[in-house]
Amino acid sequence: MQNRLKIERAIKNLTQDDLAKLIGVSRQTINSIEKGRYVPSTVLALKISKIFEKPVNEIFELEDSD
Amino acid sequence: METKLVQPLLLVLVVLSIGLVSWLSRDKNEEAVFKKLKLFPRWFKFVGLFIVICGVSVPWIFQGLLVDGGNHLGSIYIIFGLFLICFSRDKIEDEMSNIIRLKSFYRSFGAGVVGFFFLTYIENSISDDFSQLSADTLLAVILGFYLVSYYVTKSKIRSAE
Repeated sequence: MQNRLKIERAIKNLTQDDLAKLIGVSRQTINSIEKGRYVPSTVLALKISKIFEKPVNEIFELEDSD
Repeated sequence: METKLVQPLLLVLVVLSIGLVSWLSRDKNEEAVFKKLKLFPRWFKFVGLFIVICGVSVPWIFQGLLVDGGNHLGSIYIIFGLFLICFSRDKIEDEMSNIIRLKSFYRSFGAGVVGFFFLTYIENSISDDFSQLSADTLLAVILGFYLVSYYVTKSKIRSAE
C-alpha cells in the first residue's frame, strides 16, 4: 500500500512527533507507516484523514500487489 | 503444617491484589478495551524487575532456601517477575506495539513448543531415563524469548528510521 503521509505532513508543516501526538501513537508508528512497513488500522487511517482534512483514499492507495 | 499453608495463601493474596489493582486501573471506556490488549500499568514492569532480582539473588544469599542445591523457590519468583514485565504497558502503547506483542507471543510460544520436543529428545537420547523438560524451565524460556523478541523488534524499528 502506498501513502502520501510524508507529503501531507510537509504541506501542513507537521513533524512526525507532532502527528504522533495528535493521533495518540508513537513516532515510530508514524515512521513505519510512511515507509510502508506498517499498514494502519481503519481507525488510525480515519484519524489521519481527519487531521489532513482529506478522504482516506487520497492519503492511502492500494497497489497492484495488494 | 502452618508454614506449608503460608506460601499458597501468599500466592492467592498476590493474585487477588493483582486482580484488584488491574480492575481499579481498568480502562473506563468499554470500546477502548476491545481495541487494545489488556495490560497491567507501566509501573508493574519495575515491580516485576524487582521480583526477578529477588528471585535470582535471595536464595543464593540465604543458602538455606536452596532445595537440593537448586534455586527452585527463586525460579518461581523469576517466572512471576517475568510475567509482570511481559504483561505491563509501555510508555506509549499503540496498535503497532500491540501487533509486535502478538507476533512476539506467537514466536515465543512456537519456539517453546519446538524447544520442548527438541530438548526432551536430546535428553532422552543421551540418558537412559525418560525425563521431560520441567514446567518452570519451559515457562521461563517462553517468557524470556518473548521479551527478547519484543525488544529486538522494537529496536530494529527504531534503528531503521
